[in-house]
Amino acid sequence: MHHTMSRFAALFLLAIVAFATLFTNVASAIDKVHLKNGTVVEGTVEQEIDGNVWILVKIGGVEQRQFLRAAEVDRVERDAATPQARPATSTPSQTQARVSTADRSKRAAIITLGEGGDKNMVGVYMTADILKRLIPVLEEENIGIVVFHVNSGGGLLLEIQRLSDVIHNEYKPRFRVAAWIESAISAAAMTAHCIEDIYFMPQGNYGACTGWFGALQAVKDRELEEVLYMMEKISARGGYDPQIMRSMQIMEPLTCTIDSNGDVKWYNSLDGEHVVNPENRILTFNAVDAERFKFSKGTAANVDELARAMGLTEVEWVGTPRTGYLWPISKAEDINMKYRSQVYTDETALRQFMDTYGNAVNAARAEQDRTRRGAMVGRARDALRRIVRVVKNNPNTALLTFNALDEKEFQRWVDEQEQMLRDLMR
Amino acid sequence: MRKNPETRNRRAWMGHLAAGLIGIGAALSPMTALAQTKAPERVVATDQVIFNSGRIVEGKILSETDSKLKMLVVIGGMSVETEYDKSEILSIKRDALTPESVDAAPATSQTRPASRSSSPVNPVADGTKVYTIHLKGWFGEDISQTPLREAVRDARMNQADYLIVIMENDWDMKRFGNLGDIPNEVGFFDQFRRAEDMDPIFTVEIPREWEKQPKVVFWVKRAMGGAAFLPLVCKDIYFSSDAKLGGIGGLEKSFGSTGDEVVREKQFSLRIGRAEGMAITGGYDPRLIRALARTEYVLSVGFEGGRPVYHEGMPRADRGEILLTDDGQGENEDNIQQLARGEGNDNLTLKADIAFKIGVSKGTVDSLEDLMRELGIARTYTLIPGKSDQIFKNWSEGLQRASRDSRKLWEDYQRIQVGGSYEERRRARGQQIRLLDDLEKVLKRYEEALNPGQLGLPGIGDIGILRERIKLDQLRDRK
Repeated sequence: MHHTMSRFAALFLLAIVAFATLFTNVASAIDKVHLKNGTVVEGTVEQEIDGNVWILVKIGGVEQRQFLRAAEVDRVERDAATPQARPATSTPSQTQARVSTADRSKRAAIITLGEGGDKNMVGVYMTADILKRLIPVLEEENIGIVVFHVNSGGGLLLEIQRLSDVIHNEYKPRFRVAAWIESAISAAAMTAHCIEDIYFMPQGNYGACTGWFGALQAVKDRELEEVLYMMEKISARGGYDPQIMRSMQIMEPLTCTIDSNGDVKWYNSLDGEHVVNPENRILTFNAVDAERFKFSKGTAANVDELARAMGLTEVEWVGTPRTGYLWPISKAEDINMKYRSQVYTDETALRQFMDTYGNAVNAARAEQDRTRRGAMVGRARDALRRIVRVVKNNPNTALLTFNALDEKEFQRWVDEQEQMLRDLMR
Repeated sequence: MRKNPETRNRRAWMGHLAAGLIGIGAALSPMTALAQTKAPERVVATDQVIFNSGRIVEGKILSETDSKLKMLVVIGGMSVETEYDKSEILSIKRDALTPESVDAAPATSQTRPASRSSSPVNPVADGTKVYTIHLKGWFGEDISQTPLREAVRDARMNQADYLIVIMENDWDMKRFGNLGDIPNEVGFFDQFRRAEDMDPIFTVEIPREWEKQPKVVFWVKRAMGGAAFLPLVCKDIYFSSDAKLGGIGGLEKSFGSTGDEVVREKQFSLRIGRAEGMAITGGYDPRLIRALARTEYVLSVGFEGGRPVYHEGMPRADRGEILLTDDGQGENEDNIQQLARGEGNDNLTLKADIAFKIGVSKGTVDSLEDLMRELGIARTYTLIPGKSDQIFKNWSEGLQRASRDSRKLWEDYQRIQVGGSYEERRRARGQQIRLLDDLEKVLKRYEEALNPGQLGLPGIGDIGILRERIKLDQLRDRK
């Protein structure tokens, strides 16, 4: 606990530094408006009329228009560069501090937990197993900072504790770990919840963690209590008030009060000053509320803004720029992406492999001619081999498809099938 | 207030309403024609008022006292008489918009060069290339990410300075076999998923792929259903005077009484959370999404220094707030008169006036010329004769063809009888496989917009299984 608190305090200080930096070092800012009180506002001046200035500034990745009255403005300093000449800020090649460094505390990698399209289910595309496999690769790349970019609509309850354990017990002792939320719904939010440093993208969302099955049936009674308890423990790992997660799981109201020191006190009642989740609702944070109520440590639209929010004055985002991606792809992330790609192919093909296997076995059983039976058995063996490869890549398939509780049970089933195929050839 | 969210009943109910609308339409048409002959006189904006909040209003000043200013505010060629407290006003610029003063305005450091200039008083030094993309048809089908991406690519090839996206999606009951518009209160929130497929084109791909960033402007003529979300990723939205943005209400009824309430609430929460993210990206208040989507959500708005200040509750008279959407319960429930007139407020539907007041719309424009004027490029813009209309036309025609061809391919497949001699059976199976290959190709090409289940066709995964079965059957066959 002490370790968590001191780490939290240090990171909080870093966050303050980042916050201050945000106002003085906006990536896309080219104009400076000097106010008479000494403040300098940086951004893109949209227009000036009679000394009044309209300026676009970026705060936490979100562009806001500010109006500065002529009476406040001392002078306007414009960048010589035209907007056309301005570099795009979000491409990997333009990220700050691109100089390669051996200092691992400055070497960061983005590891994606889920991605667009259909490759985002927790327990299928996002598993403890693949995260474990990535650790030696990250170490080989001399990475010191791992940012989990989360984009997932949720998934299997059974994987949450495993993922949380890998992140908390394996990643945190080795790396500085942060989560960067594009969309963390249900099991994805529950996975990220053990991470102390959570940042949002402007479109980010996080919550809706109610467990369910079948036709929108809720997890209830003892089973529900177990999930609530699991999340209380995971909340403690991340340093979050457990009442926040409860309001994401069950319909409990959530309010909070922010005191003069900026500390937030949470209530699972309507006693607080700010209603975060009204009665009879399930909580999902958006980026604005998450930052306002200090659940997130900042909002960042790209890796440059993220680095600033994390207080990283110098950082190398390790990896190779790739068309279509907002950050360089490290070796570990490449393996992660290939894993998901393989799972996606397997998911589509598995039904076909199983159908082919069943039909080939039936055909072999009905065939009297040994040679022809051999051809059917060969086809069945080929389909079985493919099924085994799918399960090897993602062991959860064994449970989801074959109801096998663990790898041993699945292996027993495979052994039985192989024996049966041998018998068919006798 | 909708009584029954279930599709089958809704469709029947739409049918009755449409039939009713035909009668009303016929009865009203002479009056409509009469009204059209009396077009209001256009007022030219000559004066400019700058408020303490930074908001700028243009029009014609009618009168002025120590405390009040009365003016005809001009929005998109239409004018509305409005009175302002002078305490809210920072400066009044009479005749600031007359041609003489506009021409006389110096192109000094006060104006940002070329495309960044957004004030109508700022002249632009050189020609400004404008590319338009007109989004018409059914959202998620005719309006889809593949043609949109292609059109944006064409705009980039043409080095557009301004990308004007005109949103005018189909909101027509023809799709359901009836006549008339789909009523505002019918919600299609789940078309949001299709908006999610398209929004990265604006939020990720343009910033990443365009060397010179264009100014992206949404001009909303009709943004209903999933189409309501897409403009919200953009900071610059203009409405036409009869525009509406909404058609995503009644989210809380979308699962009927299926399952447990807590799980339904989870489903609503995550959907709203994702949609709020889209609004935040464009710089809009996320509470607007709740007002558009959930019936029982109550939202009012007041104005402080011209800036909208939202209040989650009924309006407070002492603050001069106005109601955006009530809880739709009891006496607040929209009645048939309100619904028939499109004036219900159980869910928010944004129209030009309120969208402008709360800052979602930057102005009301009814022609491209008006829009160019609002953008301050009326005298310098060049319209790029791009391919976007052709791209969308090709896509829609291709989609229709795919829908027709895929059904025919499946019928042909089902018609094949595998029989006769070994050679005939082999040939028949070969033909089956070829038809399945062709069907798969068609479905893959239009995968984002075609739903095989709705067309009574097998999915792509099922086609693979069928193909394997045929191959196995061939293996088992004897001469």
